[in-house]
Amino acid sequence: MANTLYPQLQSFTLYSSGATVGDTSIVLSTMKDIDGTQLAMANFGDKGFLTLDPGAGTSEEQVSFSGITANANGTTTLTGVKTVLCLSPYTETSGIAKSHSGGSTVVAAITSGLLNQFSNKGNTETITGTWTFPNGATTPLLGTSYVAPTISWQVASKGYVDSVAIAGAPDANTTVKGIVEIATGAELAAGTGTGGTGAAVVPAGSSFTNTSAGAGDVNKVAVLDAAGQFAVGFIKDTSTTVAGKSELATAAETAAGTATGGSGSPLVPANSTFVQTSSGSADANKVPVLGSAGVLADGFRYETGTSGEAITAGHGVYLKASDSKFYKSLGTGDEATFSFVGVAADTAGAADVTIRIIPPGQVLTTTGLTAGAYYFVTDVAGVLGTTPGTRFARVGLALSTTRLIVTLPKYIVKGSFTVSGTGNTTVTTGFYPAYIQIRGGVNSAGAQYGEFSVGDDSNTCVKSAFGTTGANSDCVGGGAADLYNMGSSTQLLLGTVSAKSATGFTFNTSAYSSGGGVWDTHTIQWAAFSE
Amino acid sequence: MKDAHQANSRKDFQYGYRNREDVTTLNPNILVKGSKNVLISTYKRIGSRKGYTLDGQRSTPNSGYGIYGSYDWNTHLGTERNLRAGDNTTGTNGKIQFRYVAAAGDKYLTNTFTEGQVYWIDIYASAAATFNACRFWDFNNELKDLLLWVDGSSNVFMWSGGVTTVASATGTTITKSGGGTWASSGFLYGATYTRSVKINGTDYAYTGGADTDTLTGVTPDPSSEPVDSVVIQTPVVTANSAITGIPATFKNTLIENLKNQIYLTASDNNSVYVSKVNNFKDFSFASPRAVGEGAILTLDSVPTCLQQQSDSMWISAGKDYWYSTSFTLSSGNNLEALSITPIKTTENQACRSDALSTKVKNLIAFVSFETQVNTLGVAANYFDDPQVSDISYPIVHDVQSYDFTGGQLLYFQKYLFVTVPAEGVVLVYNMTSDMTDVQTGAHFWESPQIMPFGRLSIIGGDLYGHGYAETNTFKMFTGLSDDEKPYKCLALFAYDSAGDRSSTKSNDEFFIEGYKYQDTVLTGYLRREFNGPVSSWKWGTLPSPFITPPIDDASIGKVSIGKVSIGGTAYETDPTGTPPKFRLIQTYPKVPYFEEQVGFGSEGVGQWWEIASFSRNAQETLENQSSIKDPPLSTI
Repeated sequence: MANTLYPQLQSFTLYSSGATVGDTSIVLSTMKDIDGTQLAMANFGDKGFLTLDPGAGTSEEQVSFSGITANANGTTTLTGVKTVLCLSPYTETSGIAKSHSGGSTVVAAITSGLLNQFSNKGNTETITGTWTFPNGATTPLLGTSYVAPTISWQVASKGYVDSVAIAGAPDANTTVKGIVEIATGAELAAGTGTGGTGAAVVPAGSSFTNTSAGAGDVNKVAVLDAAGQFAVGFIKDTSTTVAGKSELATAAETAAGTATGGSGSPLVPANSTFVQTSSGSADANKVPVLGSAGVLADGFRYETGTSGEAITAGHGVYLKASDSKFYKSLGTGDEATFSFVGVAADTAGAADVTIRIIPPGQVLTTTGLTAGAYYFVTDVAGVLGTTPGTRFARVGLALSTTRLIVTLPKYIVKGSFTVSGTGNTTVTTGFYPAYIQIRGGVNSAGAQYGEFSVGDDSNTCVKSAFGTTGANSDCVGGGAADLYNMGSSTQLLLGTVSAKSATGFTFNTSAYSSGGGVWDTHTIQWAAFSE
Repeated sequence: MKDAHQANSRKDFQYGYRNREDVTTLNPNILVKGSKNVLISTYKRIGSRKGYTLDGQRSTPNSGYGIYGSYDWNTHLGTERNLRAGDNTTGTNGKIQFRYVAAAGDKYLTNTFTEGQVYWIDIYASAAATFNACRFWDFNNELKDLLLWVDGSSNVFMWSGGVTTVASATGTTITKSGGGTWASSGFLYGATYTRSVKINGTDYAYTGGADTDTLTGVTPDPSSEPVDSVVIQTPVVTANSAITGIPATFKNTLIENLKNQIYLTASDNNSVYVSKVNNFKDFSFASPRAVGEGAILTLDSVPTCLQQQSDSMWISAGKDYWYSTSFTLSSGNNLEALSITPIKTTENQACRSDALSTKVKNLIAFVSFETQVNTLGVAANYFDDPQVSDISYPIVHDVQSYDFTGGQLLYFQKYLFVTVPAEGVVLVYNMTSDMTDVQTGAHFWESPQIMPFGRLSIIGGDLYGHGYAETNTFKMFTGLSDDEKPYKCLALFAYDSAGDRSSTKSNDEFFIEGYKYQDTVLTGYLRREFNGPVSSWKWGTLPSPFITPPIDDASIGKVSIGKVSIGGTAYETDPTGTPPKFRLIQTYPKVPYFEEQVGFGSEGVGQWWEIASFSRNAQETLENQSSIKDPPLSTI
């Protein structure tokens, strides 16, 4: 939209370098307003008009310009300079049409080009800008009262139009077009048919809305929105007593138990939130539901952790203490056997992959099982079989050929050691021995050959003595598992399980005699059980 | 009636232009405000001035930016090096150029020149758009005249002025054209300075050969440079940190030479640093100071101007101060005191800028903060103390209203030129008359010249102007257009009462006698009463007997226009260079008046006229004599 302003200014001087025909920019010595402030295009609008050499006969020229640059050296450059015809049609042509001497007078006068920007009441005019009249109207006010137009192309005032539009017209009904009355909100709410004028009431456009602002829109008529639907604001929120609108909860909101969503409506879970089986992390925050048998499916109670190596689903795995990662179980090693934690539910192609582990009490679904058979850690990494490996670890029971319930592992370890004097003997089992069985005997032939004693970690024993029966012929109860020298009352060996730990136990020999060299050593056979 | 013309004859215009007194009481031979672009010749005629023509290549239009520094250097080799500096393209990139007058076939960048073609060639790109320069004789190393300049940075720039062309080049050598050695053409030959030459914008270092016609040890490979390319010595930049005795961060602003000692000032420092004799890189001195050592002179404010005068440096500082220096030799002739003596000045009598000062004969002319154009120096009857004299007294109203930013003073051929570029005006102080000659009277100001120049140069004995709002240079007072554009000339004389100031006069004849080209349209004006209505007449081609047939030899084409210009010589020695003479009497109805102003003017290209005399047959009127008698009396 063109914009022209009318600054009142004193005359300027064309800089002494003058101007030549065709110049589209000219330099003024200065270009300041009457208070000495540098002028800018904001003072002229989109375009300014000047006269060069006013009153200088044929040298006088009218120009317009569209840019002002205040130069560092104090001069001012006008750009977009066009020569303007002084006579109608006041055509503007780029570049000045006459050369002008340096020092020529330049005035921002009321030029014909500037006057051409105004409309003239006697002229036939084309209005290119938008004119605004009082009250925001784009048509003029026609005085304080209207006069009826008498010519066909004369503008009619609103008052006149109103007067002729109502006069003689019938009230409208369902079959006759005519006068209606705008309904009030109360009338709309009440379904009133006829207004105070006797005409039928109809809703005004302002009575309709496609969104609800709440109580401020009382009595308004709901209409469909751009999507052809009612906006949500038209419906109340649902509650335990009101059937209304609600918002679907996000997974995070479901997990957090959030009551109200971003829209302010109550949150409810979407159907997609519910699952009968878990596919792992993809189902995070979902709600488990019972399966067709009325029980929760396998997989809802799996553990997760990080693989320490490549692991295949169905492999037995143990937790390595040094890095807290999962590795394949293996019956040839203490930790690889006795740190068994479960069966891999997922396959990890390499280390450092998060996988799920089926813990004891949960079921692995697979194939090729021997129904009813126990399953053990074997000497093949990760493989569970019906025959134990080097180390005994029973970890599962096949419920069928396809379902293996992972059981709390049962470990059994056996071994022996030789005692030839008093002191502690430390025995490593690889797990905490819940129960220890001890069997001892003399290694040398002689008077005590064939004597033995059987006890356990409760330090009670049964012995077999050489020679006579009597008080020394057996031992039931008492505080120690011991062996007796049947030829005398001298104890040949007195030992107890003095301590147990997560990896084994300690056998303490508190009294020992070599029988004057008749025998050399005693051999102790032991067996440890995890439960 | 003839007596009336004779009684009102105006001729011998020797009082110039004034803007001080009431224009209705002045001598009617004097030009007054409104006059412009007219000059008074030594023939005491008033006429239109000559125009100005472009010198060298026309720069890309860069409206609003111009040439803000210049220096004309006449070297010891007899060569002339004219330098100019200004904004390049953006207003922030300073560029120093020198004026090259080409021989046929010379090359620079993409240009191949014709004989005598002028081209302004870049010699240095600077952060500043202006510079201040002086000459220096390199007694210790090169035995050469060197040009030193400063630009407000903490550097001293040196140029030897060497210019030649390439005859041939190999991978490591450059042979010059024109015979002689490189050194004899002004190029550096000693290892004291960093030696390199610039060809088509590329610098080539060399290690020897300057005492022959072939430079050796040239790097990088110059062999691709075309034969006949212009070669110049690359300026040498010496940082303050490599100069002894001045602060490394000193903002070198003004530089001047006295007795081959360099005086250096900064824009934010009250001290003037003086170098040792023959060494612009050493400003050190002992205490007590030995003969020829450096010195530090501390003033009362920041120096604004350095002018070497006789055996002293005259220094202006702040807004109020002037000083002169003096040397005092010890009795043993081995020690020498360098001292400054304040000159008796008062507030605002300091020089506004170094460019707004110049030497005029044995005086210094300058524009002060008052604002006045003053001279400073000895005056008649005052030989002991320098005297400040206001020579702008006759045009006080003009000078007081002017903005002298970017202006310059230059004395040339008995004229003092004062550029006022912010106003687009050049003031001219005409000193061609002998002050003691009663026939010629005193010095006077010409009417303001509407010219767009901030800096002036004397090139080849002619006056040149450098554009203030464009980066072009022009030869002044030549041709009859302002760079091919028209210009207006107007001579407005003081109002003429033609006798009794209280009586009405009238006339019906306007006699004018002068010189003009036949195609010049001369306009005559008669304004009756102060600011009253104007009658005007335009006189173009005149038949005989209005115009005297021109002398054959004076016709255009036989005598060049510029030969008798004000810029070329102080005196018009060739009367045949003037246009044909004319005389006419213009008649018109009588209208009574008390005072009448006469004016002459022209506008356009190719206009030249001079007025030798004019008159009106003015006589007291019998009618309306009581028109100003008995005015209505106030009742208050």
